[in-house]
Amino acid sequence: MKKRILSLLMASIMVVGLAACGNKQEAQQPAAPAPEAPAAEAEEKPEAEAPAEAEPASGEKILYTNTGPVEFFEVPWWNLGQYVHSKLLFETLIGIDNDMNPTTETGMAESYELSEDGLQLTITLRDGLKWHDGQDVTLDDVVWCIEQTTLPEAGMVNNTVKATFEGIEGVQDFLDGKTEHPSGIELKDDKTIILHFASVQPSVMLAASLFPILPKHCLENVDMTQIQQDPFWQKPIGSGPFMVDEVKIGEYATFVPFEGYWDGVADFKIQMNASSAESDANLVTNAKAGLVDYAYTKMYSDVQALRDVEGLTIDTVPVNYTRWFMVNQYPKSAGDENPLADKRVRQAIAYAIDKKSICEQIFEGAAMPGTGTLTPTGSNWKVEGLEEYAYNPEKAKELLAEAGWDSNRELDLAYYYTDQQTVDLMAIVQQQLAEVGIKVKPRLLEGDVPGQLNAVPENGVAGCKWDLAYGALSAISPLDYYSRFADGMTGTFHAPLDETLDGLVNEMLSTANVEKQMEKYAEIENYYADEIPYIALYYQPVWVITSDKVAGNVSKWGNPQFYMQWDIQNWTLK
Amino acid sequence: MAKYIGKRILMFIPMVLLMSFLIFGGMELTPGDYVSNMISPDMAANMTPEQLDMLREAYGLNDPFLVRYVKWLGQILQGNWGYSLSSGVPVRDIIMQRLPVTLELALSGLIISAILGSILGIISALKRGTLLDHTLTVAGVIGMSIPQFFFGMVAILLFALNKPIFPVGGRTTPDMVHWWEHLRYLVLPALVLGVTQTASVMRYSRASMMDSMHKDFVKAARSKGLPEWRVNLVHGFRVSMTPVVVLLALRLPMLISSSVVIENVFQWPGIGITFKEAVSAGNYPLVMMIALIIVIMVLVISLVLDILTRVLDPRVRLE
Repeated sequence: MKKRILSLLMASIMVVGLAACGNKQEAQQPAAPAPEAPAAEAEEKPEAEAPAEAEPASGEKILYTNTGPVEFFEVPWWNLGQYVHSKLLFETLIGIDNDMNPTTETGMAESYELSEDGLQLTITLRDGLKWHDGQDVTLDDVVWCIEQTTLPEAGMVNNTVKATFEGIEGVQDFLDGKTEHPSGIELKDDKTIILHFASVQPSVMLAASLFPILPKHCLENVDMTQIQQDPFWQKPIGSGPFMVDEVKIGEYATFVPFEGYWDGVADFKIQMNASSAESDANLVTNAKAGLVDYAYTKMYSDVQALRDVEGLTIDTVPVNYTRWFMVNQYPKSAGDENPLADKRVRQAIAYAIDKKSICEQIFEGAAMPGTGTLTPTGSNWKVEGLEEYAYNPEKAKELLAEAGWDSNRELDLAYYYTDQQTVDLMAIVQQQLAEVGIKVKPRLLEGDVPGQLNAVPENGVAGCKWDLAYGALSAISPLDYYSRFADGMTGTFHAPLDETLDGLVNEMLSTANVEKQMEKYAEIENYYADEIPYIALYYQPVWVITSDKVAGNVSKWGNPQFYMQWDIQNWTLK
Repeated sequence: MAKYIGKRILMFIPMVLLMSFLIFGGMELTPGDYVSNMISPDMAANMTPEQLDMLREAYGLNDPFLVRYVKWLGQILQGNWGYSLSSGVPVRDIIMQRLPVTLELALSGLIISAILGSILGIISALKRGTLLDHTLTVAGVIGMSIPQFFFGMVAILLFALNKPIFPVGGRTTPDMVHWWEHLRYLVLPALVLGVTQTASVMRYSRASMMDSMHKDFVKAARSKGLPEWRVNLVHGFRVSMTPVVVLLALRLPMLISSSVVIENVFQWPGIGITFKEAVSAGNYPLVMMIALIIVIMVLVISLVLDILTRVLDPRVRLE
């Protein structure tokens, strides 16, 4: 009897084990047949760089990359182009080149025209645009997408895009249900749409160039607050050069060339390993195993680990990304005075931090020291000759003395990144500030980090508990850098509204004329360099990693975080 | 026996309810919620408080704790496991997809550790005080001290990168046709999981074997003139296995929850990673169901163990 029970138990364990092993059988589909790579090319990759799993059994050409879906494909209106799959699957309304200027070489628009007064944008779609399911891309899709971004419940839309389209005439009547569509959306014919704006939208071309169009017929019944939860995002349909073939959420996704794409058809497939966009913990291992042909990273530790790997090239690409200290200028309690409201104290902090040595020590020179302004060095918009706050502890001490700084006061320095670089940085900053008589205590924010960082002040008293907070600013354009200082934006959560800065920002944002924008921008940079409401620490680039399998010059691909003109369907894979 | 089992199963109900309340309460006590975890601080800087509040309303996060708990419990009682807050995918689908994947890894690791640990433990006990015993004891201590992630990374370095015998990670590839093709992906994570668990099983079985070798029935068997191998394996080994089986069986649900390290290192798409991500994202429908399944597994296994103990050791009475 006992033996029978034991035998039954053992058999059950084996059955469960086998069932577990066999669970994925039905999901395994044979790979779609594809043209075979020439034998000579297939042999080119040295054995050490190409372990068995990196070689497809069928001999077809595969580009390996990362940022595949961990749980879902992210709605591409949120992080514009941050995910490689967004750029494979979707196309923006107007194309954008590597310098972030609109172009008709890519994108859905065959032509576009912005009126001289900046109030009217005319876009004509190309002929023959198709969705991956074979349906035509129509202006109906475009209108629907634009309208959805204006809905109050559409939270997952980039603010610049949302603000731009909210500026279309008649949007309020549309939102109030008085009209079926905003009156400012005019369909000239079945290919041409004219957007009439109630006021100048300074980022109109950028918004149209970074705005991917989604298929209305797949999403029109979705509640916009929960668009991300729609099953569509488990295997989305787009109109881009590649279409989803197979998805194993959390494992990989494969993409095949879209035969109906208007600008060429690739001769390779793409396999994407699931990973976070911000930090792929397995990037180094996978790259060393030959499972990465194209990827980008923000982690310098990845660069350090991969720079000597044969067959990989790592390129530095400057982006609008600034690491900074937010400064809480509000008093912690009514009637109190916050010394950080005194610009001399903020300037002293900026002088006391040796940003150059930080970039050398932590990034081995790969990051650029932040100057008094937010705009990264090297940008066309950067105004030269401004105060850079080069390391000067003596000057810092002078300013603190002038401001009557109480050296017994301890500043609460909040941070939320948990990587080693940040921990090292906090220790360095703590030491450097201590040298000029400023005590700081670094503190890791946990839990509701956004709420703690951007708590709204009440009755002139700080909502945020911290004094300094280490964070990042990622902007889609120089205009975007400063738009947060306008009335009602998050800049006013940390400091009372600076009417001068607010006025300058509004003047810059009230014109679509780029020259005038740059003129105002220079004024803002001058003002900001003196006031430094936020203290820029360094500008961090991203690093693009390519394998020798990809022919061509990576530098031409521009900013990997946006829908640049990367032309992936025409890449050549060895 | 049937009465005992029925009673134990009835006791499961209040225990599961209590555990679910405690887990739900525990999640409530952690700072932040799904929305604050979903939106990065950098992105939140571009959103208005109204937009954030609208998202919270859409996810039902503005309701009081008890209301949300009762709503969730009501859903479960109706057989609706709910939906993942992040992806909108039914929780049932996620668990049915990920749990077998982890079970596969956990069972493989368990079998490896059970076989290796029992054999080495018995050898160690039978060779007590010898160089072999000391060597195995030291190896066991070292084995328990090495963190899994380190062991995993060394294994990847040696057997996937330096000598590409096994894949660096993952579980399947698009070109797989037969299910057994993925077994080579299982080898490294299962070995690492198994070997890191072997040390404790070995020490446990050694102690248990040594204990049983001093029992009267073993002495009686030996005095009857039975061959030594028969005394050791049939009489000593059988009884010494009772606590080892308990240890192994109770380890299975723990392996599922603790497999997160191995799953991370080997990119194994199991429930451990899913659970970790759900907890850190505040995705409570998913957290609750995974936790409940683990709770139920522990309860069921403890019941099965009681029955199995009775089978292995006739002296045990179930009451």
